[in-house]
Formats: sequence, C-alpha cells, structure tokens
Amino acid sequence: MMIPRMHHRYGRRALVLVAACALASACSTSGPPATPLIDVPAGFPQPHFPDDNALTSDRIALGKKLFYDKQLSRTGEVACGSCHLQENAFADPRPLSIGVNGQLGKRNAPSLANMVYNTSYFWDGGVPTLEQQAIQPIINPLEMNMTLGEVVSRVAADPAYVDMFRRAYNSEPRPEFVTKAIASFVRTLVSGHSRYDRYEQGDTTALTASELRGMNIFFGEKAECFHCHIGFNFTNNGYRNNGIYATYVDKGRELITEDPADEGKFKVPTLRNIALTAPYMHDGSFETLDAVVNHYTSGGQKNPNTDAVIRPFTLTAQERTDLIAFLGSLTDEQFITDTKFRK
Amino acid sequence: MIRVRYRYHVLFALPAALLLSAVLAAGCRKDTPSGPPAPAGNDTAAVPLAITFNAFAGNAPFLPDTVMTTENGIQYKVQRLRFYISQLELIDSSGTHVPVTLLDSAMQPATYGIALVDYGIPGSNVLRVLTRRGRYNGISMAIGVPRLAFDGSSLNHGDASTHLPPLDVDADMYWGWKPGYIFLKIEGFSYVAKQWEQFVYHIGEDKRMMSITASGAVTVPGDSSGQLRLKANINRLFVTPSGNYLPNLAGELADRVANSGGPADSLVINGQKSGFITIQQ
Repeated sequence: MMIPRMHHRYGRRALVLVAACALASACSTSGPPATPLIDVPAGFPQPHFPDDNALTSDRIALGKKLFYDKQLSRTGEVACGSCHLQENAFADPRPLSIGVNGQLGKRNAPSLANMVYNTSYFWDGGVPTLEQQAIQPIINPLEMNMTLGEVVSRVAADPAYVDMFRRAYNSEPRPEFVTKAIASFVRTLVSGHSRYDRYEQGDTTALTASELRGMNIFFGEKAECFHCHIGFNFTNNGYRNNGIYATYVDKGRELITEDPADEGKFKVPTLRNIALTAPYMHDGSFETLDAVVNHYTSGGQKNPNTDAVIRPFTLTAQERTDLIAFLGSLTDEQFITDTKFRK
Repeated sequence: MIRVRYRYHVLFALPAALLLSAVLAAGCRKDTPSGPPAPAGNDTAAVPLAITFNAFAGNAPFLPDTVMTTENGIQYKVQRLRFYISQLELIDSSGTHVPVTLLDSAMQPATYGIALVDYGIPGSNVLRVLTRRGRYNGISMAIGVPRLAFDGSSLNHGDASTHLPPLDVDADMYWGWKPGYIFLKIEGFSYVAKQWEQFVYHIGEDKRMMSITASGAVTVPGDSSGQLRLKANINRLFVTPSGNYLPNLAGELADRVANSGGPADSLVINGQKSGFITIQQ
C-alpha cells in the first residue's frame, strides 16, 4: 500500500535556523545572539512571532527562569514546570494537575511541544495567544492562585530578576513582561527530531518494519488517524468530539462558543512525543496508548456531537502493535534532553 | 483588605482651572478621540459632575452580606457586586447624546473611558466626569467593556496583562480561560429549600454589553456642585421586562451559577430593560 506521506509533510528543506527573529524590531538592549534562538526542523514552517514581543535571547532566558520559578504560585509550591515536565515532553504524567494546597485541576496539562505553531491554546482553544495563555495558570485559584501584582512584587525584590527584566524589556518588572517572557520561552520548545522525522528526511533505516507497517495503518483509511492528526505537527488544529463520553461534564469547546454543537469537542492534540505524554485525552482518562487504540476501535460512546470519523473498526493484534510502535517513533529524544530547556 | 482604587474626594477642592486643563489634555490624547463635549453656545467650559450609583434592593439600601428580598419574595444576600461602566453620555432636550469625559483618580481623562463600580471598594460607586453645563433629559451608558479601545486596539479581548486599572487582571474581572472581561459580577447566597445556596453570575462577552438609558431631569450647573444620583436596583436584575422572575435565584444550580445561556441572557435583558439603573429622585 502506498504511504500518502504528503499528508504529513510540508516539503523537505534543510535545517533552517531562525536566528534574527525580527531582532531589528526588538526592544532588548542585547545584541544579536551568537547562536540560533530556535532550530526549525526540516519540513517545519517558519514560526511567526508577535510584533510586540519579538524573540530575543534575554526574553527567553527570563521566561525560562519564570517558567521554573515556584514563587509564581501563592504558596511557593507550584511552577509552570511543575506540571509541564521536560521528560514528558512538557506534559504532566498525572491525569489532572495539582495546584497550590494540593488542589486538583480540571484537565490534563498538555505537552508544550510546538506551541509556537498553535493559534489557540487550552483544550477548548479559548485563548488566542501564548502571552494571554500565560495569565490563566497564574491567576487560576486551582493552579497558582496568584495575582500578577504579587508576582511582580516578588520578582522585583530580586536584583537578578530586575536586571533580567531590564535586559529583556528595558523595563522594571511589570505584569505584561512576565507573560511576554514566559511566552517567549515556550515558543522555543520546538520538537521535530524524532526517528520519524529522520525517515521523512530520507533515512530509510530510521523506522523498523513494525513502525513502517504502523505508519501505513496510521495514514490508511481503516484507522483514519490522519484525518485529524495531520501535517508536520500531527494535528489539524481543529476541535473534535471523539466520543469518549455519552455525556460530558466538561463541555469543552462549547464553553467558548456557547454552541451546543460544540459540546464535548476538544482540541486535536499533536501526537509528537505521544508515547511520553500519558495519560491521554483532555481529562487524562486513558492511561495507555493501548487504551486509546481500544477506544477508537470500539467506535466510542454515542453522543450527538461524536465525529463521523469515529466508528468501529477492527485491528489484528499485530496491527495494534504496529500502530503503537509507529506512535513511539514520534518521540524526540533530543527535545526531552536538551539542556537549553532544562531548569 | 479593601483596595482603594480611586480617590475622588479631592475633586471639589480642585480649582476650575485645573479641571479645564484636564479637558484640554483630553483633547490631546490619542485614546480619547471623541474628547470632551464640544462647547455649545455660551457654554464654553466643561464642568465637573459627580455621578453616584447608589445600590438598592427595592427601596432598601444595599449592604453586602445582608439579607434582602426579591420582588417575588426570595431572600438573598450579596457578597460581591461589581460592574464596568462605559460609554457615558447625557441626553439633551433634542435627544442628542452628549459625551462626557470620565476622569480617573488623578482627575485626568480615564485611559479607557471606563470605571469599575465595586461595592466592596468604598467610593468606587462615585464617578467623576466632565461635561457641558445644561439641562438634560436623561443619561445613557453601557455596562461592559467595549470590544475596541479609543485607538482601535483590542480592548475587551486584548492582552489584559498589558492593561492598566480598572482593566488590570488583578481587578478580578477577567476571564483568563476565555480572554475578556466580566462586565457584571454578582455573587452571594439565596435561601432555597430552607438553606442558603450560592449563586454566582458572571456576565461578559461582546454580545452581552448592556446598553442602558435612564430618563429624567438632569441638571449640570456651571460650577463644581453638579451631582447626579442614580439608583442601581439589584432586584430589577431578576425581573424580566414582561414581569417574569428570571434568572431564578431559588432555582437549580444551573439557574444560580451561570456565565452564559439563559440566565446570563436574562440578566442582560433585565439590566437593559427592567430599570436596573434609574435616576434617583
């Protein structure tokens, strides 16, 4: 069977390094970086950056410090990095994240890989920019339970932070630069160096025979995974009800649109590093990839909004093994060990 | 701890010249393109007016955490009552809407032309504005945050971490999960089946901007003594224009806790059409 690889490729290009990244328009007092700010993997499009928050090394450095700083939470217990773990591709291995004072969140913290390419954030896609996204975990009573004013007060008391804010934004600490810096760091979390990517770039030995068979299933019309998980980032960036419940406690996209037709719809997540980001679904209700495959082969629950593509089909034991093996080839070891992302 | 955002008490100690300078400054600011009211006839000077939103439950003055009674006999008490006021205009005898310039705590034209009335913050229910002296037949306003700022940038759905008070994130009137402001927040407890149950209404979204007109005689004198007292009758938020009692404060959870759907839409219609804001005689 022919593998419709163009479904998931945007074309082969040499490694493109985004170095300047609109530095000319940046307000930072630092000079051009000696090393690239983001490695854009082959086959990936060039990322876009907001006009009012050009990417600079100082902004990334400040954002990384904030990302891992538990001072951002009311009790000093929780940082962004507490629920977005690098070894899990910046996802949370717990079904629901735990905020200050042991409070349980309402959704599974997703992987932060390739967020620079997203145009909406959170499982319901309610937030249009990474800068705005950075606000919610800080102020959410179930997560960090802070005010931005208190965050600024805390970091302003630290001369090292004051210096970093000055270098990054030529300003004293302010709420908007807290969120802009965190967004800058998150934009650098690009993942595209898996064995699958090596295969795509022409290394025919990069995938095992089982993984190749699994790729055929993934992009085939029986499993139909690629209808939603398509493109270089294995997502169509849409919202789908995949029938995991007959009745949804969490209304998902409907919370944003107020359209009952969107009840139970959630963002189609990237499948990059999917073997590292268990548990799965918006509420972390599936512990393993095997459970996920079981769900899809079963055809899911009956819900008025369950997507038409969700219907029962059969996989042999070998096909199931192959499909899960292929998903494992999407793991990017470089991404989860890269020291520039580490605390 | 109560955060005092505005200090209005100094207004009437200010000389008229200072107020006039504020008007002139308004004309120079990009974020107030409409500027102060244009002079008409001999009324060349903008004069101050204090607009007070006095909250009531029927005829009983509102007090936080105090038992009140709706018009259909439901006991309730309010812990938080806050709303954004924007697009203030006086209506003259010809029906023409005359803009007023909202002032901030420094007696400068408010950056966004918006005030947060928060009954947990003493004094925040008194808005200081500049307008043209004269006799008017009413006042109009919006409860809400416009989609766009004066300069055309995104306001209601903009990046709130870049916004100044009263639109700062810490004003606790912002949805971080769906960027946009809560226009009206009313939270408390209602007496349901012999026990107190929580109610929480957070009203926002562009389509739920409340346009309100309060008719009645308004006089703006030519000096600094101008006062306009408005009545914010909480009970009228729970009565539809046709006389039904919605949202149902004594209803199910979905009736009592809402930021969308029927309960939210009812509150918006009631706020606009059932006399939530009236001129206090």
